[in-house]
This record gives sequence, C-alpha cells and structure tokens, in this order.
Amino acid sequence: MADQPMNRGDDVSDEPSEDFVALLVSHQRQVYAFIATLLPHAADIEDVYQQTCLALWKKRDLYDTARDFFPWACGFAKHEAFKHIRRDSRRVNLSEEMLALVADTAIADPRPDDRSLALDICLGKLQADHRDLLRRCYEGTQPIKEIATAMAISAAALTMRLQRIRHAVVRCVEKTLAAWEGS
Amino acid sequence: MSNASNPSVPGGSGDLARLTAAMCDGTATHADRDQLERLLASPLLRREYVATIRVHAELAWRWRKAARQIVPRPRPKPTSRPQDAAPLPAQPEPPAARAPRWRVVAGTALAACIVIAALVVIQAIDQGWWQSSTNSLARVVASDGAVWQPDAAVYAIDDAVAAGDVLSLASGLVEISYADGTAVVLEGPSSFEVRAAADGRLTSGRLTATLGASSKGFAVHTPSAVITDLGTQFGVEVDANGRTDVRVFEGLVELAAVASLGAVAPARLAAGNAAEVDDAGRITLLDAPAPKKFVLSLPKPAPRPPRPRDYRWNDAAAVMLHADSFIGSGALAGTSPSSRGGTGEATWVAPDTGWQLDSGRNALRVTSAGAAFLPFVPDRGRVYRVSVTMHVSDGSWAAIGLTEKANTQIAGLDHAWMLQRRTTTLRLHDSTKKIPNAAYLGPGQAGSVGRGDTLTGEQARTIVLDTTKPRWRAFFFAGDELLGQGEFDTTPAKISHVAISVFENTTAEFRNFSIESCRP
Repeated sequence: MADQPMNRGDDVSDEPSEDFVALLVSHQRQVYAFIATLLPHAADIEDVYQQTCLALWKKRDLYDTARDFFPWACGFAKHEAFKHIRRDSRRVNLSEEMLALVADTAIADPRPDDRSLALDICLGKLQADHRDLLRRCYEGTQPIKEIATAMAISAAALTMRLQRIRHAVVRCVEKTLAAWEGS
Repeated sequence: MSNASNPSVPGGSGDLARLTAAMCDGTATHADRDQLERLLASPLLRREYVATIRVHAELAWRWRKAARQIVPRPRPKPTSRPQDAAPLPAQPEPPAARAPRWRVVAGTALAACIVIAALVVIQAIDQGWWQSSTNSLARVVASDGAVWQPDAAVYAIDDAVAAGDVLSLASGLVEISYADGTAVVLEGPSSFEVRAAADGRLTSGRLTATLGASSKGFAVHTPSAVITDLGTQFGVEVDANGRTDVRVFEGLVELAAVASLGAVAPARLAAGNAAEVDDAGRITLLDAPAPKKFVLSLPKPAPRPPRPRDYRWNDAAAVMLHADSFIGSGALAGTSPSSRGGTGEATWVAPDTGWQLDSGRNALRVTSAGAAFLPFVPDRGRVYRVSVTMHVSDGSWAAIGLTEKANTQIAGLDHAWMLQRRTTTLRLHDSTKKIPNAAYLGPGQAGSVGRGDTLTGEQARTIVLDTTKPRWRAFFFAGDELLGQGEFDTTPAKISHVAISVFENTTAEFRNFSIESCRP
C-alpha cells in the first residue's frame, strides 16, 4: 500500500479521465469512512477528505488499474491524515502506531454498500424523536449546546443521550449485517 | 456488540463506547486516549471501534453531505453522447455559515468529476443497464403451519419467488411451484434458495421435488451434492454436517458429489433407491435406509377469482381525481396537473429546489430529500387507486403513500405507503444475495404488511385504499402483482394528502401519477 504520494504528475489538469472519475465517485463514501476511523471528529474528516481527493486527483496518472482502488486511495488518505495530525494538534488523537493498526482493520472489510443499507434500515427502526435528534446533531448547523438548551437539558446529558442512540444504531447495524451474512 | 463478546477485556464495550464518543465529539483527554489505546490493542475491540466509527462516518456523510458537495460549477465537458445528457440539477446556494473550504482548483477538478460521473450514470440509464428484472421464477401455492425464520422473508400463498430469494422455514410446510410445473415441498426447519428456472439450492433441511409433466433436468444443489431430476419424484435431506440423503420415489435421478464434480461420473438412482453423499464426496448407496417421512404434496387452497380480487372496482363508475404525466419543465412546486394537460386543479406542495420536471426525460426528477403532496381526503364507502411509476437511480429509497400532514422536509409517511430501494442486493465477500423485505410497505410507520419486495429499476406501483368496510384496507401492487395487503389499526380519518417522498442523498424519477376513485 502506498503511504506516500509519489512525485510524478503534480500538475492539476481539468481534463478528466472518465474511468478514474467513476472510481473516485464510487469510492467517495468508503474513503470518507476510512478517514473517519483515523480522525473521527467531523471537521477533521472534512479537511482530510478534501486534501485526499485533491491528492488522488493529482496522482491519478499513477493509478494502476490492475490494483484495487480502495487500498490505493487509503494510502493517500492515511498520509493526509498523518499530515493533518502533525500540523493541527487541537484535538487529542490516537498515536500513529495505533492509527496504523486501526487503518489495517478498516481496509480489511470495507462493505460500504451493505453498511449503508443496514444503517438505513436501522434508522427506520429508531424512535422518530431519536432519529431527529441524531440528525440535528450530525447536520452540524447548530452547536450541541444550543440543541441542548432548546431541549432544556445539559450539553453533557445530550452527549450521553447521543452516545446511547448511536450505540443502539451500531448494535442494530452489526446484528443486521450478521443476519444477512448468516442467512 | 457487547461486553459478552470480549469478556477478557475489563471494561470492554462500555468504556469503548464512551471513549469512541469522546473521540468523535473532540472531547477526549490524553487520559481517554491512553485508555482507548489500551483497549484497541485487542483486535476484537479494534473491529468494534471501526464498526462504530463507520456508523458515525455514514451519519456524517449523509447528513453533512450537502455542505460538502457544494462546489464551483465547472465548464461543461463534452461527452460521447452530449445529446443524451440531461441537464444537471442546479446546486442550492450554500448557507454562509456552512460555506465549504474547497480550494478553487480542487473544486474545479472535483466538480468535473461529479459532472462526468453524473453523465456516466445518465448514459447507463439511457442504455437500459438498470433494466428492471422481477425474475419471478416460482410461486407459493400451498402452506401448512409455516413459521418463518426470524429476519427471513415471509411468504404467503400466491407470493412470487424470484431468482435469489431464499425461503427459510423454522417449522411447518410450504409448497412452491416453478413456472414449468415442478413442485417443491419444503419442510421446516429448512433453507432453500430459488436460483434459476429449473434450479434451487437446499442449504439445510428437507424437500421433496416432483417434476412437471413437460419438465426435465430440474437440479437441486446441496452443500455436498447435485441431484438432477430426469423426470421423477424424489426427496432430499441435508443434515447439520452438510451430508445429503437422497430418496427416489419415482423415475430416475442423477446424483453427483460436489467434491468430485467433473472428475467422477454421476451415479444414477432409480425408484426405490436411496443414497448418502458426504462432504468428502463419497456416495454411499443405502441398502436399508432408515425410514423417513417425506411430504410429497400439500392440499391446495381453492382457486381465487382473478384480480382485482380483494376489493371491488367498478370501471364504469370510476372517476379520475388527479392525473399528472409530469411532462413539462421547471419546478413542481405550485403547479397543478391540469397545467400540463392532466387532471386536477390542485397544486403540488413540494420543495422549491431539487423537485424538477425534466423535459428531456419526461419525468419528475428528484435530487433532494423531502416530499411532495396533493390534497387527498378519502370518503367512506369508496375505493381509491393511487398509482405512480418510480425509479430510484442513486442513493437509497423513494416512496408513495397517504399522510396526515404536508411537510415538504420530511420523507416519512403516515399511512399506506410503499417504499422502493435503489438496490436490494448485498455484496457479501464473494457472493451476492437479495435482502428479504428490503423494499417494504405498510399501513403506517409502526409495521409493514405483506412480505414487501425486492423490485428495483422502473416499477409501476399502485396503492389501493378500500374504505367500504368499517376497517379500512390497503392493497399494494407492483404492476398487476399484489405484493401485500393490510388493515389499519385505527381508521385513518385524518388522511389529508397523498405524497411522493424521497430519502436523503437519493435521486429518483417519477412518471404517470394518478388517483382514481369509484363507488363499487
């Protein structure tokens, strides 16, 4: 797996390669999720995702179509994530050694479509108010404190509630995937 | 996902959940990080951590996506078939507070990516790669005390069974009939996949197959054997170790061991023969097999009248309330079906953006989440048909249904809805399978009725609402096929609108919407 972007093809051209574009677009969600496993805070994911897409686009000529795209793209994502951590230490992150282990775990079993579908089903099973709350918090348009104030609870209580809902969703997703695999 | 999954790690999942949440929220301390790293030394907890983060990422992806995808519009690029390319939907203006930080160069390049990818998809649609395939190969014809496995698809008499559908019985009996007349009786507990027109796979349990008068070559695959019917009646049982027991009641079968397929000629078994195949490929003829009771066929229910059979419809007295072809251009919101030559003066309540009439595709093309409504207040004593042709080309799902309110921001529906997904096929490692009940239907959010379906591509869907009985009933059709039906827990006297709804990050097209009614 390429951890470092290579030194060829630094020019940014607007002439797209349709095959590469199709690959990039079809793996967007996977790459985004991979970055999240290294840097889970939403703002960090967004920053690194942008940088990774740019790096992939710059280096598209180096992609060997005989190889899987996802692990190749993850090499760039990992490199960008490490760069981000070294440059921006506002948040506490896992050590690079642990991140490397986590990255290997994440690359081993991407299953993005299945997970997305399972999540869809599990969100449908959530109580409507829990789902709405999850959505409000994830949209990122309103600070957690504001949402908590509007609900007349403390930010800590809201965080705890979110954690419980998210945990329930995770369990549902894993159970659903296991049932599908076992069926 | 519980502590029980890893009892050797103190704290386990409970602490992991808290620490993972702290990482996601950006509130983790150095002590939290150290504790998390100790937990993540366990591969099992590392997998659990990754699973949790993936859900977190998926939620962020789908709900923060709007902010992320707003990029500068690129110069349009020529394509190989520019005349086929439908105009791309306009991107909404970004709210100032959520303005993205894309570099111009990245934005331009990636916007080009998005444009070209969209064109690729459109071309694929034009070329019919998404063509609908219902693949209905068999039908359930009889049932006796059938109890289905938890999470498995539930089949009722007359339900169609498509290629890839798996019948997983916990107990009881079910008989299906293939199109060529071959009958298969499944005895629970068992799991049987309908694979092709004359082909099925028994993973576990017991079945009996009886060939139709004109059929030949029906094959049953098991983990250890392939049984090919040469015009006969036979029974198969697969035990917990994958061993296959075959009994021939009439005619002749060919029996091959999976472990020696192609290397050893299949054995031929005649009426009265019995054989066992183990997973090492050994075929043993049984001189005195233990007696086993195979059920050869089930009593069939009385034939039902032709459709429409469960509600009465009077074509002569039918009235068209709304008919909208969606042929036009511009936003749907505020327009009426009659403004396009259709029926009905009422105007659509719809989101202002992302719900556009696409003159190139003669369809309502939806690219943003939400719902569109027309007023619809059903009377007692009538039957209504609500129909639309829908196709989900990207993302998750779209639905039609009846609802009590008209909130254009919420895709959820209150009553009698049918939901269709873009895909109902899972890719599990090196295999694919259909998800049972992936697209479901129901009289309300609380539960579904019928078995749902796994239909994708362009589908003509109809909901029939029958208010002639004290308890109102709903019937759900794809084309002419009745998928399910149900009664409302409480009569939904508050129904005020009919709705089309589309989930987040989904692109869907709708054609030929109509509501007609009659007093039967």
